[in-house]
Amino acid sequence: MSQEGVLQGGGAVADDEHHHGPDKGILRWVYTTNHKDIGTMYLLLALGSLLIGGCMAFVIRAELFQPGLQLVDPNFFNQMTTMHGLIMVFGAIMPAFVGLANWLIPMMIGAPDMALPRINNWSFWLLPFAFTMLLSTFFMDGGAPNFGWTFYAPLSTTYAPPSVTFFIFAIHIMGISSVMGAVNVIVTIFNMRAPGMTFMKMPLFVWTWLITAFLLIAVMPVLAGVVTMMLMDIHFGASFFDAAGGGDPVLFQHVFWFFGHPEVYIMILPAFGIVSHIISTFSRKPLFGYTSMVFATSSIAILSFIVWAHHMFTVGIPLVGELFFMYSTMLIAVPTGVKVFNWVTTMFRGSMTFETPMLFSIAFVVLFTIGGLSGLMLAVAPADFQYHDTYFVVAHFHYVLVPGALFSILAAVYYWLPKWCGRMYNEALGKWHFWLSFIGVNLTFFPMHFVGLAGMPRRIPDYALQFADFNAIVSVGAVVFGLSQLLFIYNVWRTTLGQKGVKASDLVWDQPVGLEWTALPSPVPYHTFQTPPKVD
Amino acid sequence: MKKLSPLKLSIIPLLMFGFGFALVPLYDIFCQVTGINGKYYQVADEASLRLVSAQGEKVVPLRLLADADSRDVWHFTPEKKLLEIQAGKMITTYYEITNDQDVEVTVQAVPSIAPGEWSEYLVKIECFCFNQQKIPPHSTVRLPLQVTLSSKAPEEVSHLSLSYRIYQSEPLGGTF
Amino acid sequence: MKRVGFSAVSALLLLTTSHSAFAEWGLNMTEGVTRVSHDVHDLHMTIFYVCVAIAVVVFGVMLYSIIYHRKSRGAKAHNFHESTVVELIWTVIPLIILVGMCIPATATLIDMYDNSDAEIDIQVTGYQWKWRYTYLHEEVDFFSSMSTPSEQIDNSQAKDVNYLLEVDYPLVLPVDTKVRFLFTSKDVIHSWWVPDLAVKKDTIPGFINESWTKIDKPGIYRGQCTELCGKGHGFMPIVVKAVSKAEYKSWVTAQAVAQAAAREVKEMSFAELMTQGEKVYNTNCAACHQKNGAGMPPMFPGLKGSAVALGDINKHINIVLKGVRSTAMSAFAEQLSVSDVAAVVTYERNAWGNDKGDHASPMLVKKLKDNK
Repeated sequence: MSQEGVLQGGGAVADDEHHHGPDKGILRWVYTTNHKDIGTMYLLLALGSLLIGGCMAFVIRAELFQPGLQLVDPNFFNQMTTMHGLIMVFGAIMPAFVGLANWLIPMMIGAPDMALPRINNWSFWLLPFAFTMLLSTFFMDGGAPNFGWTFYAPLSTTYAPPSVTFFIFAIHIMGISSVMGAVNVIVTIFNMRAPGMTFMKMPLFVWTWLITAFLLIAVMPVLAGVVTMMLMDIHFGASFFDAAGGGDPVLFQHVFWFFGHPEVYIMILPAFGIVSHIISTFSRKPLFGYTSMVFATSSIAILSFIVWAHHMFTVGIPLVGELFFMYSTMLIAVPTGVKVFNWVTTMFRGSMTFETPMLFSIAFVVLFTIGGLSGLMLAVAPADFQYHDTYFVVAHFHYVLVPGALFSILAAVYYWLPKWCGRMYNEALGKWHFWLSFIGVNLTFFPMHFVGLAGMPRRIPDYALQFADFNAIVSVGAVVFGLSQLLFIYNVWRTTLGQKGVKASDLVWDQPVGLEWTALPSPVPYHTFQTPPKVD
Repeated sequence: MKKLSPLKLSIIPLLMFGFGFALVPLYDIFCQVTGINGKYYQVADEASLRLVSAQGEKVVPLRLLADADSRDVWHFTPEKKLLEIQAGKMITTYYEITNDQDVEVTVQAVPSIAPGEWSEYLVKIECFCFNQQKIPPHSTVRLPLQVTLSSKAPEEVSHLSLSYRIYQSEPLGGTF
Repeated sequence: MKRVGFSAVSALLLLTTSHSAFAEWGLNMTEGVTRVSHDVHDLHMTIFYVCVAIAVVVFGVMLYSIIYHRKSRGAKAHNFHESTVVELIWTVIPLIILVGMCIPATATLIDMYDNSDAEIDIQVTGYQWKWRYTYLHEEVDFFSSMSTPSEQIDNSQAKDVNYLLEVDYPLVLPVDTKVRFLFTSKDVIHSWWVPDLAVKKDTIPGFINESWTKIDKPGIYRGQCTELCGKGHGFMPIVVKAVSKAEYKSWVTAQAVAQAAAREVKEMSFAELMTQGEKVYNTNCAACHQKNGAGMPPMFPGLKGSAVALGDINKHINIVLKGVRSTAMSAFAEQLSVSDVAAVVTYERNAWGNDKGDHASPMLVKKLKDNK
């Protein structure tokens, strides 16, 4: 979304760095090892996935608009919910954060590029193949995976459509890509900080990404392991998850959620970093409690390894296990609370203005907190017996992932776009985008709490009559939310490729903090920090 | 400044991939210790039995359940649905399995005990689930089961349920 | 911009509050009809109010800052950015709240896990996509399938009040009696949930899980499967009919007699077989093979004009009885009575333009079932 800015940047350095300019045409993108190009490609891939996954959400919401089966058969409906989850998690949110990391980490720590540029290129280019493979399952005999994004065995092994093998390989490729990306981030942050930039001086986005990267290299291989076990069960007569051969289907859930719970923090920790920057800038105050933010993020990451079974309260864990996982899960509320309190205190006695990135960040704090509080309710094991696998859970994780992770990504794009491409986005359009998204998101996900509490299970293609009214509202909200994202695409397009919008100053905002603002011009040149800046 | 080597860092994901698989035996051990999935009961022979289960007063109802796989067509039932087990008192009971097919089948029974955390107090001396069983065509076979209650069972152990699910298996394993 | 947002929100509020049957919308968790469900509801409300209180404080401070500390009002930014004392306070206070929450939660959980001293044991087995209830103390054992007709699902007929939440044979339980459930599954993982009993437990193939309930008052309580179990996941409801102890006793007696009678094999006419067959087909087969027999190839082959339905009748009966290995076709030998199998096979051979003209007699099915 900032190709034009990058091209310009390339032009700007062309005087003295002629031979380092980008290639021309499509090959530039194939061969590029430039962190900004790769970041752009990641963000575009994420946007594409968001649209595809969004269309699947439209199919789901259209079918659920009224009781009865109108549009799709239940099997296709299950394929939609499964692929919607997979595409949004692995195709939209995660690549978007990797894209932002590519763009921002070198600029924030004063490095010329990522530490492993060729690996960087490779880890991006694996993804289009993985997603093509995943999407191609729609055209296979038996259809796409239909067992939910959590793919519980034996529904995903003995009872799966034949396309499950392609799903497994797609997950493997994505996993390899994520691990390489994460190794790159860690090595970059460890080795390439500008002189004087100690760990405790690093911007929070860098800190949160460092922790995220460690989570990634710790748990993505476990996901690879669990799908490999599935592969062995399906094709090589193993029985990891089949009681017939001495296996246990519940083992699948333990291994999956050992990956799955850190995974949800992978999708939210970088968001914490982003909103910390934005709230501080637009409150015109330094972030309150930087040190405590770092410690809170680290403790959330560590705790995420010992709470996984709260996804499994109903599988029949013994009492002691239930209690342990209930207590440890509730404990996570403490560091998360610290973060929210820090953000609010940063706003307190500031001098606030409400540009689009700030609006998205404030909405993030409010709506993420709502998602966090419903998470606290879900942590209470006895009550979870009523919440588990209902729309209450759907509401909860959409609140932390949509107005949580996705809003932070949108905020980040609005916030840094002027720096990337040298032009301001259209503020009026941005505000329209925000308000429509804000209304749409709440209209979509808030009523889900009610239908969930009233007893509507998740992943059903049709429902009893008492859930009808709320479901109709939810579907209308989904249309509002989905279509309003077109405003965002248009806004970004007109700012970058369209070259409209006023030129941004080097600082862009009112006294922002960080090397990317203070030490670099807008738009940023194709190559930056070839001599490291000094940080004091 | 000492540089972090990406190769060294790659050891972490490799180890974690291995750890994913290590979770399988770890889970088994974990289950054995905590009894999570109700698969683990005590196996004792006559000699050690005298050591683990002195005669006790406590009597616990044991419910026996049978569960054939939906694609398999044999009839499989416990002869008695409810037993009373007492520490130090051995009880022998039978499950009946009928093979209506024209060929011999080899089956494996897999037990599950509820509540899982008490499964360690169920002591089996002899069980048809220890081995694969061959069932000749058109015949009914009585499969023996010899159980008792462990004398270590604490007061709160109030009931036990033992279920067998039967699977057709390849002779000589084929299991992982 | 803001006016647009506010008017939309107030329009929504108007929409929700002006709805005449507000209570019917189902906004909150049910209180249920057992001690445990009441405890769970109370816990839910407590933690909800705690969350609301936290939200009011946090969002209150935030809103105050947004209103009073904005640049457009001339607010000047202060520079404070650290305070260990404050950080400690807002670490410790939430901790205390959480400990306060854990105490009642732990007590309720311990109660939920006390499966001892049940008077009735019932084995609940999940099948794709129906439930089987085996009364372990009695000779009662039956399947419970959704009874909503497919015309209501495909919108060609008006929907009943209990659309998708009605079954052919409900689980009948006595009130004031501790009932223990033993959960297992034949195929994939299902989850048995009745909100009014606050019982939700996964049914896992090859393993048994326990739970219990003690219903306070007679009534009909409905629930659904809550673990994705394939294409019929949304169509396997649970209906619990709680009756007085005396009523339960006479029901059990009548049920045992009826089940024994159903096991008896008697001859049926072609017309009888076709009528019964259509009913059995629509309940048990139509989810995959479709009402019109067209199926959903390649996963679920069609029966209209198929080699099986028009081929050897013994082979046809055997497939229904024993299923087909490594496909979605399950074995119906224990799910359907002999006469049901005879009826459904006859129906499949003579419906939708299949015109074999022959029929499967219950005697033949019995013979094949016993493999004599």
